[in-house]
Amino acid sequence: MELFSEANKIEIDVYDTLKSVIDPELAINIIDMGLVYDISYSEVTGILVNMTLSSENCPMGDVILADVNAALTENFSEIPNNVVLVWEPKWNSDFITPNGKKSLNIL
Amino acid sequence: MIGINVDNKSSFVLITAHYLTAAFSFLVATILILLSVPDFLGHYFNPKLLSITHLVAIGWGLLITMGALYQLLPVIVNAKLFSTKLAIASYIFLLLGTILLPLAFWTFSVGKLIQLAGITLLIGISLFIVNLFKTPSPKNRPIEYDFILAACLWLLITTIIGLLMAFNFEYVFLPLEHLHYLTVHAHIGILGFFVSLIIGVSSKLIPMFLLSQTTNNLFLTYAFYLINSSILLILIDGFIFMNIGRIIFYAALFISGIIVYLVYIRTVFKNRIRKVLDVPMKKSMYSFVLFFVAILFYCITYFTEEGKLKLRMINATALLFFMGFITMLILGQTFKTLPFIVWLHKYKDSKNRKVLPKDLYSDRLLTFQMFFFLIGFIFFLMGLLFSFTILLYLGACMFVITAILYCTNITKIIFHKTY
Repeated sequence: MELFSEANKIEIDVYDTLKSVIDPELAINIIDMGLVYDISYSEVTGILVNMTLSSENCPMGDVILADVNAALTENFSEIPNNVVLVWEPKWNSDFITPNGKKSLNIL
Repeated sequence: MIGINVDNKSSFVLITAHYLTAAFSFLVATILILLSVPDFLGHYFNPKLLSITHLVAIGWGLLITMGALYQLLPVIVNAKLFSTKLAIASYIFLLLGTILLPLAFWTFSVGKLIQLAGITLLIGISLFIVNLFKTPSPKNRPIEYDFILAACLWLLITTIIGLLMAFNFEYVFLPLEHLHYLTVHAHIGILGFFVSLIIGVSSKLIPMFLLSQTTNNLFLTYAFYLINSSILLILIDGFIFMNIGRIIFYAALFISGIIVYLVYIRTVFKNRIRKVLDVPMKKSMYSFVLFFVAILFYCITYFTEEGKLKLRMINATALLFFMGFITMLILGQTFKTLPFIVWLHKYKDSKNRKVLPKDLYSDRLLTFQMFFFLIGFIFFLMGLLFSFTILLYLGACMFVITAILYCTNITKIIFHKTY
Protein backbone atom coordinates (compact mmCIF):
# COMPACT_ATOMS: atom_id res chain seq x y z
CA MET A 1 0.00 0.00 0.00
CA GLU A 2 1.44 3.30 -1.03
CA LEU A 3 -0.78 5.74 0.84
CA PHE A 4 -0.32 5.68 4.57
CA SER A 5 -2.99 7.62 6.41
CA GLU A 6 -5.63 7.16 9.05
CA ALA A 7 -8.17 6.87 6.25
CA ASN A 8 -6.76 3.64 4.96
CA LYS A 9 -5.36 2.27 8.23
CA ILE A 10 -7.35 -0.96 7.94
CA GLU A 11 -6.04 -1.62 4.42
CA ILE A 12 -2.48 -1.04 5.64
CA ASP A 13 -3.04 -3.41 8.58
CA VAL A 14 -4.47 -6.04 6.21
CA TYR A 15 -1.46 -5.56 3.95
CA ASP A 16 0.90 -6.12 6.89
CA THR A 17 -1.13 -9.11 8.08
CA LEU A 18 -0.94 -10.76 4.68
CA LYS A 19 2.84 -10.48 4.84
CA SER A 20 2.64 -13.28 7.40
CA VAL A 21 1.07 -15.66 4.85
CA ILE A 22 3.84 -17.73 3.31
CA ASP A 23 3.78 -19.70 0.03
CA PRO A 24 4.96 -23.07 1.41
CA GLU A 25 6.66 -24.09 -1.83
CA LEU A 26 8.67 -20.93 -2.35
CA ALA A 27 9.00 -19.91 1.30
CA ILE A 28 8.22 -16.24 0.61
CA ASN A 29 5.19 -14.23 1.64
CA ILE A 30 2.30 -13.64 -0.76
CA ILE A 31 2.75 -9.85 -0.75
CA ASP A 32 6.36 -10.08 -1.92
CA MET A 33 5.28 -12.73 -4.39
CA GLY A 34 2.87 -10.17 -5.87
CA LEU A 35 -0.17 -12.41 -5.45
CA VAL A 36 -2.33 -9.76 -3.75
CA TYR A 37 -3.80 -7.41 -6.36
CA ASP A 38 -6.09 -5.24 -4.31
CA ILE A 39 -7.14 -4.61 -0.72
CA SER A 40 -10.17 -2.48 0.09
CA TYR A 41 -12.28 -1.75 3.12
CA SER A 42 -15.62 -0.13 3.71
CA GLU A 43 -17.89 -0.24 6.73
CA VAL A 44 -20.63 -1.72 4.59
CA THR A 45 -18.76 -4.54 2.80
CA GLY A 46 -15.91 -5.13 5.22
CA ILE A 47 -12.50 -6.23 3.98
CA LEU A 48 -12.20 -7.26 0.34
CA VAL A 49 -9.00 -8.90 -0.92
CA ASN A 50 -8.49 -9.63 -4.62
CA MET A 51 -5.67 -12.06 -5.11
CA THR A 52 -4.31 -14.62 -7.53
CA LEU A 53 -2.01 -17.67 -7.54
CA SER A 54 1.16 -18.23 -9.54
CA SER A 55 -0.62 -20.97 -11.50
CA GLU A 56 -4.24 -22.10 -11.81
CA ASN A 57 -3.28 -25.63 -10.80
CA CYS A 58 -1.08 -24.52 -7.91
CA PRO A 59 -1.21 -27.51 -5.49
CA MET A 60 -0.72 -25.15 -2.58
CA GLY A 61 -3.61 -22.90 -3.64
CA ASP A 62 -6.05 -24.23 -1.07
CA VAL A 63 -3.52 -23.84 1.74
CA ILE A 64 -2.63 -20.28 0.76
CA LEU A 65 -6.30 -19.24 0.56
CA ALA A 66 -7.08 -20.94 3.86
CA ASP A 67 -4.12 -19.14 5.46
CA VAL A 68 -5.28 -15.78 4.10
CA ASN A 69 -8.75 -16.35 5.54
CA ALA A 70 -7.34 -17.52 8.86
CA ALA A 71 -4.99 -14.52 9.13
CA LEU A 72 -7.83 -12.08 8.38
CA THR A 73 -10.26 -13.74 10.78
CA GLU A 74 -7.66 -13.83 13.54
CA ASN A 75 -6.56 -10.22 13.18
CA PHE A 76 -9.85 -8.60 12.19
CA SER A 77 -12.39 -10.73 14.01
CA GLU A 78 -14.91 -7.87 14.20
CA ILE A 79 -14.88 -7.13 10.47
CA PRO A 80 -16.36 -9.41 7.79
CA ASN A 81 -13.89 -10.35 5.07
CA ASN A 82 -14.12 -11.63 1.55
CA VAL A 83 -11.18 -13.11 -0.35
CA VAL A 84 -11.72 -13.28 -4.12
CA LEU A 85 -9.48 -15.37 -6.36
CA VAL A 86 -8.95 -13.65 -9.71
CA TRP A 87 -7.03 -14.73 -12.83
CA GLU A 88 -6.87 -11.38 -14.60
CA PRO A 89 -4.32 -9.97 -14.98
CA LYS A 90 -2.38 -13.20 -15.19
CA TRP A 91 0.36 -13.30 -12.60
CA ASN A 92 3.90 -12.88 -13.89
CA SER A 93 7.34 -12.20 -12.49
CA ASP A 94 6.95 -8.42 -12.86
CA PHE A 95 4.56 -8.54 -9.91
CA ILE A 96 7.25 -9.83 -7.53
CA THR A 97 8.57 -7.10 -5.24
CA PRO A 98 12.34 -6.36 -5.06
CA ASN A 99 12.36 -8.15 -1.67
CA GLY A 100 10.68 -11.18 -3.23
CA LYS A 101 13.14 -11.20 -6.11
CA LYS A 102 15.98 -11.12 -3.63
CA SER A 103 14.50 -14.12 -1.75
CA LEU A 104 14.10 -16.03 -5.01
CA ASN A 105 17.63 -15.18 -6.19
CA ILE A 106 16.34 -13.58 -9.36
CA LEU A 107 17.80 -10.09 -8.97
CA MET B 1 -10.17 -25.39 -6.44
CA ILE B 2 -10.17 -28.98 -5.29
CA GLY B 3 -6.48 -29.42 -4.57
CA ILE B 4 -5.03 -32.56 -3.15
CA ASN B 5 -7.25 -34.80 -1.18
CA VAL B 6 -4.56 -35.85 1.29
CA ASP B 7 -6.27 -34.44 4.35
CA ASN B 8 -8.40 -37.55 4.11
CA LYS B 9 -6.55 -40.29 6.03
CA SER B 10 -7.28 -43.12 3.60
CA SER B 11 -6.02 -41.04 0.65
CA PHE B 12 -2.85 -40.21 2.55
CA VAL B 13 -2.23 -43.85 3.48
CA LEU B 14 -2.95 -44.91 -0.11
CA ILE B 15 -0.47 -42.45 -1.65
CA THR B 16 2.30 -43.05 0.89
CA ALA B 17 1.81 -46.84 0.56
CA HIS B 18 2.59 -46.49 -3.15
CA TYR B 19 5.73 -44.48 -2.40
CA LEU B 20 6.90 -46.87 0.34
CA THR B 21 6.30 -49.97 -1.79
CA ALA B 22 8.14 -48.36 -4.68
CA ALA B 23 11.10 -47.42 -2.47
CA PHE B 24 11.29 -50.96 -1.09
CA SER B 25 11.04 -52.42 -4.63
CA PHE B 26 13.92 -50.18 -5.68
CA LEU B 27 16.02 -51.41 -2.75
CA VAL B 28 15.26 -55.06 -3.56
CA ALA B 29 15.96 -54.46 -7.26
CA THR B 30 19.39 -52.98 -6.52
CA ILE B 31 20.23 -55.97 -4.29
CA LEU B 32 19.10 -58.33 -7.08
CA ILE B 33 21.29 -56.40 -9.55
CA LEU B 34 24.25 -56.94 -7.22
CA LEU B 35 23.42 -60.67 -6.98
CA SER B 36 23.14 -61.08 -10.75
CA VAL B 37 26.05 -59.03 -12.07
CA PRO B 38 27.41 -61.80 -14.39
CA ASP B 39 23.97 -62.15 -16.04
CA PHE B 40 24.17 -58.57 -17.32
CA LEU B 41 26.92 -59.65 -19.71
CA GLY B 42 24.65 -62.26 -21.35
CA HIS B 43 21.38 -62.28 -23.31
CA TYR B 44 18.58 -60.05 -22.06
CA PHE B 45 16.02 -62.87 -22.35
CA ASN B 46 17.27 -64.26 -19.06
CA PRO B 47 15.12 -65.06 -15.98
CA LYS B 48 17.11 -62.86 -13.62
CA LEU B 49 17.24 -59.87 -15.95
CA LEU B 50 13.53 -60.22 -16.71
CA SER B 51 12.81 -60.41 -12.99
CA ILE B 52 14.84 -57.26 -12.23
CA THR B 53 13.41 -55.36 -15.22
CA HIS B 54 9.83 -56.09 -14.16
CA LEU B 55 10.55 -55.23 -10.53
CA VAL B 56 12.01 -51.90 -11.62
CA ALA B 57 9.23 -51.24 -14.17
CA ILE B 58 6.26 -52.26 -12.01
CA GLY B 59 7.35 -52.10 -8.37
CA TRP B 60 9.44 -48.98 -8.75
CA GLY B 61 8.34 -47.02 -11.84
CA LEU B 62 4.65 -47.89 -12.06
CA LEU B 63 3.76 -47.80 -8.36
CA ILE B 64 5.44 -44.49 -7.67
CA THR B 65 3.87 -42.98 -10.78
CA MET B 66 0.45 -44.16 -9.66
CA GLY B 67 1.00 -42.77 -6.15
CA ALA B 68 1.99 -39.42 -7.66
CA LEU B 69 -0.97 -39.50 -10.07
CA TYR B 70 -3.46 -40.01 -7.24
CA GLN B 71 -2.12 -36.75 -5.87
CA LEU B 72 -1.72 -34.85 -9.15
CA LEU B 73 -4.79 -35.91 -11.06
CA PRO B 74 -7.30 -34.08 -8.82
CA VAL B 75 -5.13 -30.97 -9.22
CA ILE B 76 -4.98 -31.26 -13.00
CA VAL B 77 -8.68 -32.04 -13.53
CA ASN B 78 -9.85 -29.87 -10.63
CA ALA B 79 -12.12 -32.64 -9.33
CA LYS B 80 -11.92 -35.35 -6.73
CA LEU B 81 -10.67 -38.82 -7.67
CA PHE B 82 -13.63 -41.05 -8.57
CA SER B 83 -13.03 -43.62 -5.81
CA THR B 84 -10.39 -44.08 -3.12
CA LYS B 85 -11.71 -47.61 -2.46
CA LEU B 86 -11.10 -48.57 -6.08
CA ALA B 87 -7.59 -47.14 -5.80
CA ILE B 88 -6.95 -49.22 -2.68
CA ALA B 89 -8.19 -52.37 -4.45
CA SER B 90 -5.96 -51.55 -7.43
CA TYR B 91 -2.97 -51.10 -5.09
CA ILE B 92 -3.55 -54.51 -3.44
CA PHE B 93 -3.63 -56.31 -6.81
CA LEU B 94 -0.59 -54.41 -8.03
CA LEU B 95 1.29 -55.20 -4.83
CA LEU B 96 0.55 -58.91 -5.33
CA GLY B 97 1.63 -58.69 -8.96
CA THR B 98 4.81 -56.84 -8.00
CA ILE B 99 5.75 -59.71 -5.70
CA LEU B 100 4.59 -62.58 -7.92
CA LEU B 101 5.89 -61.55 -11.34
CA PRO B 102 9.57 -60.95 -10.42
CA LEU B 103 9.40 -64.11 -8.27
CA ALA B 104 8.02 -66.11 -11.20
CA PHE B 105 10.80 -64.86 -13.49
CA TRP B 106 13.57 -65.30 -10.88
CA THR B 107 12.56 -68.91 -10.22
CA PHE B 108 11.61 -69.35 -13.89
CA SER B 109 8.14 -70.61 -12.92
CA VAL B 110 6.60 -70.06 -16.33
CA GLY B 111 3.43 -72.02 -15.59
CA LYS B 112 0.62 -71.11 -13.22
CA LEU B 113 2.65 -68.64 -11.10
CA ILE B 114 3.49 -66.29 -13.97
CA GLN B 115 -0.11 -66.52 -15.25
CA LEU B 116 -1.46 -65.63 -11.81
CA ALA B 117 1.00 -62.74 -11.60
CA GLY B 118 -0.12 -61.47 -15.01
CA ILE B 119 -3.81 -61.71 -14.09
CA THR B 120 -3.37 -59.82 -10.79
CA LEU B 121 -1.45 -57.10 -12.60
CA LEU B 122 -4.10 -56.82 -15.29
CA ILE B 123 -6.84 -56.51 -12.65
CA GLY B 124 -4.86 -53.88 -10.72
CA ILE B 125 -4.13 -51.82 -13.83
CA SER B 126 -7.73 -52.14 -15.10
CA LEU B 127 -9.09 -50.87 -11.77
CA PHE B 128 -6.67 -47.96 -11.94
CA ILE B 129 -7.80 -47.09 -15.47
CA VAL B 130 -11.50 -47.33 -14.56
CA ASN B 131 -10.82 -44.92 -11.69
CA LEU B 132 -8.98 -42.56 -14.02
CA PHE B 133 -11.68 -42.54 -16.70
CA LYS B 134 -14.48 -42.19 -14.14
CA THR B 135 -12.81 -39.11 -12.66
CA PRO B 136 -14.35 -36.07 -14.40
CA SER B 137 -12.22 -34.75 -17.26
CA PRO B 138 -11.15 -31.11 -17.01
CA LYS B 139 -12.76 -28.28 -18.92
CA ASN B 140 -10.97 -27.46 -22.22
CA ARG B 141 -9.01 -30.75 -21.86
CA PRO B 142 -5.35 -29.70 -21.62
CA ILE B 143 -2.96 -31.72 -23.78
CA GLU B 144 -1.11 -32.85 -20.63
CA TYR B 145 -4.28 -34.69 -19.61
CA ASP B 146 -4.46 -36.43 -23.01
CA PHE B 147 -0.86 -37.57 -22.57
CA ILE B 148 -1.81 -39.14 -19.22
CA LEU B 149 -4.90 -40.89 -20.62
CA ALA B 150 -3.00 -42.19 -23.66
CA ALA B 151 -0.16 -43.42 -21.42
CA CYS B 152 -2.65 -45.39 -19.30
CA LEU B 153 -4.21 -47.00 -22.37
CA TRP B 154 -0.71 -48.02 -23.57
CA LEU B 155 -0.09 -49.45 -20.11
CA LEU B 156 -3.19 -51.59 -20.45
CA ILE B 157 -2.09 -52.83 -23.89
CA THR B 158 1.44 -53.54 -22.58
CA THR B 159 -0.06 -55.60 -19.76
CA ILE B 160 -2.34 -57.55 -22.11
CA ILE B 161 0.60 -58.40 -24.39
CA GLY B 162 2.60 -59.44 -21.32
CA LEU B 163 -0.27 -61.64 -20.13
CA LEU B 164 -0.55 -63.28 -23.57
CA MET B 165 3.16 -64.08 -23.39
CA ALA B 166 2.76 -65.47 -19.86
CA PHE B 167 0.08 -67.91 -21.10
CA ASN B 168 2.04 -68.63 -24.25
CA PHE B 169 4.84 -70.14 -22.15
CA GLU B 170 2.49 -73.03 -21.29
CA TYR B 171 -0.08 -73.15 -24.07
CA VAL B 172 2.01 -71.93 -27.06
CA PHE B 173 -0.63 -70.24 -29.22
CA LEU B 174 1.21 -67.14 -30.48
CA PRO B 175 2.39 -67.61 -34.09
CA LEU B 176 5.84 -66.03 -33.68
CA GLU B 177 8.67 -66.49 -31.21
CA HIS B 178 8.66 -64.74 -27.81
CA LEU B 179 11.38 -62.24 -28.71
CA HIS B 180 9.09 -60.71 -31.35
CA TYR B 181 6.35 -60.02 -28.79
CA LEU B 182 8.90 -59.01 -26.16
CA THR B 183 10.11 -56.27 -28.53
CA VAL B 184 6.56 -54.96 -29.03
CA HIS B 185 5.78 -55.31 -25.28
CA ALA B 186 8.96 -53.42 -24.27
CA HIS B 187 8.53 -50.65 -26.84
CA ILE B 188 4.91 -49.97 -25.93
CA GLY B 189 5.66 -50.18 -22.21
CA ILE B 190 8.66 -47.88 -22.24
CA LEU B 191 7.69 -45.44 -24.98
CA GLY B 192 3.92 -45.62 -24.73
CA PHE B 193 3.47 -45.69 -20.98
CA PHE B 194 6.54 -44.30 -19.26
CA VAL B 195 7.58 -41.67 -21.78
CA SER B 196 4.03 -40.45 -22.52
CA LEU B 197 3.20 -40.25 -18.85
CA ILE B 198 6.44 -38.48 -17.98
CA ILE B 199 5.82 -35.95 -20.74
CA GLY B 200 2.23 -35.39 -19.60
CA VAL B 201 3.09 -34.91 -15.96
CA SER B 202 6.37 -33.04 -16.46
CA SER B 203 4.88 -30.54 -18.89
CA LYS B 204 2.50 -29.57 -16.09
CA LEU B 205 4.95 -29.73 -13.20
CA ILE B 206 8.18 -28.31 -14.61
CA PRO B 207 6.70 -24.89 -15.51
CA MET B 208 5.03 -24.87 -12.09
CA PHE B 209 8.21 -25.69 -10.16
CA LEU B 210 10.35 -23.29 -12.18
CA LEU B 211 7.69 -20.55 -12.19
CA SER B 212 7.84 -20.40 -15.96
CA GLN B 213 5.19 -18.45 -17.84
CA THR B 214 5.37 -20.52 -21.02
CA THR B 215 1.90 -20.98 -22.43
CA ASN B 216 2.59 -22.18 -25.98
CA ASN B 217 1.22 -25.73 -25.87
CA LEU B 218 1.41 -26.22 -29.62
CA PHE B 219 4.74 -28.00 -29.25
CA LEU B 220 3.12 -30.44 -26.83
CA THR B 221 0.25 -31.09 -29.23
CA TYR B 222 2.69 -31.94 -32.04
CA ALA B 223 4.68 -34.14 -29.65
CA PHE B 224 1.47 -35.93 -28.62
CA TYR B 225 0.50 -36.90 -32.17
CA LEU B 226 4.03 -37.82 -33.27
CA ILE B 227 4.68 -40.01 -30.21
CA ASN B 228 1.30 -41.75 -30.13
CA SER B 229 1.16 -42.39 -33.87
CA SER B 230 4.62 -44.01 -33.70
CA ILE B 231 3.51 -46.34 -30.90
CA LEU B 232 0.28 -47.18 -32.70
CA LEU B 233 2.29 -48.11 -35.80
CA ILE B 234 4.57 -50.36 -33.72
CA LEU B 235 1.48 -52.12 -32.35
CA ILE B 236 -0.17 -52.53 -35.77
CA ASP B 237 3.00 -53.72 -37.48
CA GLY B 238 3.92 -56.03 -34.60
CA PHE B 239 0.53 -57.68 -34.25
CA ILE B 240 -1.25 -57.40 -37.59
CA PHE B 241 1.61 -57.52 -40.08
CA MET B 242 3.89 -59.49 -37.72
CA ASN B 243 6.81 -57.31 -38.71
CA ILE B 244 9.14 -55.44 -36.40
CA GLY B 245 11.74 -54.76 -39.10
CA ARG B 246 10.34 -51.28 -39.74
CA ILE B 247 10.54 -50.32 -36.08
CA ILE B 248 13.40 -47.90 -36.74
CA PHE B 249 11.07 -45.75 -38.90
CA TYR B 250 8.55 -45.58 -36.10
CA ALA B 251 11.36 -44.83 -33.68
CA ALA B 252 12.34 -41.91 -35.93
CA LEU B 253 8.75 -40.62 -35.70
CA PHE B 254 8.90 -41.04 -31.93
CA ILE B 255 12.26 -39.26 -31.68
CA SER B 256 10.94 -36.31 -33.68
CA GLY B 257 8.10 -36.10 -31.12
CA ILE B 258 10.65 -36.12 -28.31
CA ILE B 259 12.67 -33.37 -29.99
CA VAL B 260 9.54 -31.21 -30.23
CA TYR B 261 8.88 -31.88 -26.53
CA LEU B 262 12.48 -30.96 -25.64
CA VAL B 263 12.06 -27.69 -27.56
CA TYR B 264 9.05 -26.99 -25.32
CA ILE B 265 11.10 -27.79 -22.19
CA ARG B 266 13.86 -25.49 -23.44
CA THR B 267 11.34 -22.66 -23.79
CA VAL B 268 10.09 -23.37 -20.26
CA PHE B 269 13.68 -23.16 -19.03
CA LYS B 270 14.42 -19.97 -20.88
CA ASN B 271 11.34 -18.29 -19.40
CA ARG B 272 11.77 -19.55 -15.86
CA ILE B 273 11.72 -17.18 -12.92
CA ARG B 274 13.53 -19.51 -10.53
CA LYS B 275 17.02 -19.39 -11.89
CA VAL B 276 18.67 -21.51 -9.18
CA LEU B 277 17.71 -25.18 -9.40
CA ASP B 278 17.39 -27.25 -6.22
CA VAL B 279 18.80 -30.80 -6.01
CA PRO B 280 15.55 -32.57 -7.04
CA MET B 281 15.22 -30.36 -10.13
CA LYS B 282 18.90 -30.85 -11.02
CA LYS B 283 18.33 -34.60 -10.91
CA SER B 284 15.30 -34.28 -13.14
CA MET B 285 17.30 -32.31 -15.67
CA TYR B 286 20.13 -34.90 -15.64
CA SER B 287 17.51 -37.59 -16.27
CA PHE B 288 16.48 -35.84 -19.49
CA VAL B 289 20.12 -35.82 -20.60
CA LEU B 290 20.27 -39.57 -19.91
CA PHE B 291 17.07 -40.02 -21.87
CA PHE B 292 18.70 -38.35 -24.83
CA VAL B 293 21.75 -40.64 -24.44
CA ALA B 294 19.40 -43.65 -24.23
CA ILE B 295 17.79 -42.66 -27.56
CA LEU B 296 21.26 -42.29 -29.09
CA PHE B 297 22.21 -45.76 -27.82
CA TYR B 298 18.96 -47.16 -29.19
CA CYS B 299 19.79 -45.89 -32.69
CA ILE B 300 23.41 -47.12 -32.54
CA THR B 301 22.23 -50.53 -31.28
CA TYR B 302 19.81 -50.87 -34.17
CA PHE B 303 22.62 -50.50 -36.69
CA THR B 304 25.08 -52.72 -34.76
CA GLU B 305 25.67 -56.17 -36.25
CA GLU B 306 24.20 -59.18 -34.42
CA GLY B 307 26.61 -60.53 -31.84
CA LYS B 308 27.93 -60.01 -28.32
CA LEU B 309 28.41 -56.29 -28.80
CA LYS B 310 24.79 -55.85 -29.88
CA LEU B 311 23.57 -57.77 -26.82
CA ARG B 312 25.68 -55.58 -24.54
CA MET B 313 24.37 -52.49 -26.31
CA ILE B 314 20.75 -53.66 -25.83
CA ASN B 315 21.40 -54.18 -22.11
CA ALA B 316 23.12 -50.79 -21.92
CA THR B 317 20.14 -49.11 -23.65
CA ALA B 318 17.72 -50.76 -21.21
CA LEU B 319 19.94 -49.61 -18.34
CA LEU B 320 19.91 -46.07 -19.70
CA PHE B 321 16.09 -46.07 -19.93
CA PHE B 322 15.25 -47.75 -16.63
CA MET B 323 18.11 -46.78 -14.32
CA GLY B 324 19.25 -43.67 -16.15
CA PHE B 325 16.15 -41.86 -17.29
CA ILE B 326 13.29 -43.25 -15.21
CA THR B 327 15.15 -43.91 -11.95
CA MET B 328 17.03 -40.60 -12.02
CA LEU B 329 13.77 -38.75 -12.65
CA ILE B 330 12.01 -40.56 -9.80
CA LEU B 331 14.96 -40.01 -7.44
CA GLY B 332 14.55 -36.28 -8.07
CA GLN B 333 10.80 -35.82 -8.47
CA THR B 334 9.99 -37.83 -5.32
CA PHE B 335 11.33 -34.86 -3.37
CA LYS B 336 9.17 -32.42 -5.32
CA THR B 337 5.96 -34.35 -4.63
CA LEU B 338 6.11 -36.50 -1.48
CA PRO B 339 7.16 -33.72 0.97
CA PHE B 340 4.16 -31.66 -0.19
CA ILE B 341 1.76 -34.57 0.22
CA VAL B 342 3.00 -35.26 3.75
CA TRP B 343 3.20 -31.58 4.65
CA LEU B 344 -0.35 -30.95 3.46
CA HIS B 345 -1.60 -33.90 5.46
CA LYS B 346 0.21 -32.94 8.64
CA TYR B 347 0.27 -29.14 8.55
CA LYS B 348 -2.68 -28.06 6.41
CA ASP B 349 -4.85 -27.25 9.42
CA SER B 350 -2.04 -26.59 11.83
CA LYS B 351 -1.38 -23.10 13.13
CA ASN B 352 2.18 -24.03 13.95
CA ARG B 353 3.89 -23.90 10.57
CA LYS B 354 7.51 -23.76 11.61
CA VAL B 355 8.45 -26.33 8.99
CA LEU B 356 8.01 -26.11 5.24
CA PRO B 357 7.81 -29.06 2.81
CA LYS B 358 11.51 -28.75 1.99
CA ASP B 359 12.36 -29.19 5.69
CA LEU B 360 10.87 -32.70 5.78
CA TYR B 361 13.82 -34.36 4.04
CA SER B 362 17.56 -34.21 4.41
CA ASP B 363 19.14 -32.20 1.61
CA ARG B 364 22.52 -33.69 2.57
CA LEU B 365 21.26 -37.27 2.13
CA LEU B 366 19.80 -36.23 -1.20
CA THR B 367 23.14 -34.83 -2.38
CA PHE B 368 24.96 -38.02 -1.31
CA GLN B 369 22.24 -40.06 -3.00
CA MET B 370 22.77 -38.16 -6.26
CA PHE B 371 26.56 -38.57 -6.00
CA PHE B 372 26.43 -42.34 -5.40
CA PHE B 373 23.84 -42.87 -8.09
CA LEU B 374 25.69 -40.90 -10.76
CA ILE B 375 29.06 -42.58 -10.04
CA GLY B 376 27.37 -46.00 -9.76
CA PHE B 377 25.54 -45.46 -13.01
CA ILE B 378 28.70 -44.48 -14.90
CA PHE B 379 30.57 -47.51 -13.44
CA PHE B 380 27.77 -49.90 -14.35
CA LEU B 381 27.37 -48.52 -17.85
CA MET B 382 31.11 -48.71 -18.50
CA GLY B 383 31.21 -52.22 -17.00
CA LEU B 384 28.43 -53.28 -19.38
CA LEU B 385 29.98 -51.73 -22.47
CA PHE B 386 33.49 -53.03 -21.84
CA SER B 387 32.51 -56.33 -20.11
CA PHE B 388 34.40 -55.28 -17.01
CA THR B 389 32.92 -57.24 -14.09
CA ILE B 390 34.64 -55.28 -11.30
CA LEU B 391 33.09 -52.04 -12.57
CA LEU B 392 29.69 -53.76 -12.66
CA TYR B 393 30.09 -54.85 -9.02
CA LEU B 394 31.23 -51.39 -7.95
CA GLY B 395 28.31 -49.80 -9.80
CA ALA B 396 25.83 -52.29 -8.29
CA CYS B 397 27.17 -51.59 -4.76
CA MET B 398 26.63 -47.87 -5.32
CA PHE B 399 23.10 -48.55 -6.53
CA VAL B 400 22.42 -50.37 -3.23
CA ILE B 401 23.85 -47.42 -1.26
CA THR B 402 21.69 -45.04 -3.33
CA ALA B 403 18.59 -47.12 -2.55
CA ILE B 404 19.40 -47.18 1.19
CA LEU B 405 19.86 -43.39 1.25
CA TYR B 406 16.65 -42.93 -0.74
CA CYS B 407 14.65 -45.22 1.57
CA THR B 408 16.05 -43.42 4.64
CA ASN B 409 14.94 -40.06 3.28
CA ILE B 410 11.51 -41.38 2.23
CA THR B 411 10.94 -42.88 5.68
CA LYS B 412 12.03 -39.58 7.26
CA ILE B 413 9.40 -37.73 5.22
CA ILE B 414 6.49 -40.15 5.64
CA PHE B 415 6.97 -40.71 9.36
CA HIS B 416 7.69 -37.06 10.11
CA LYS B 417 6.33 -36.02 13.50
CA THR B 418 4.63 -32.64 13.73
CA TYR B 419 6.07 -30.17 16.23
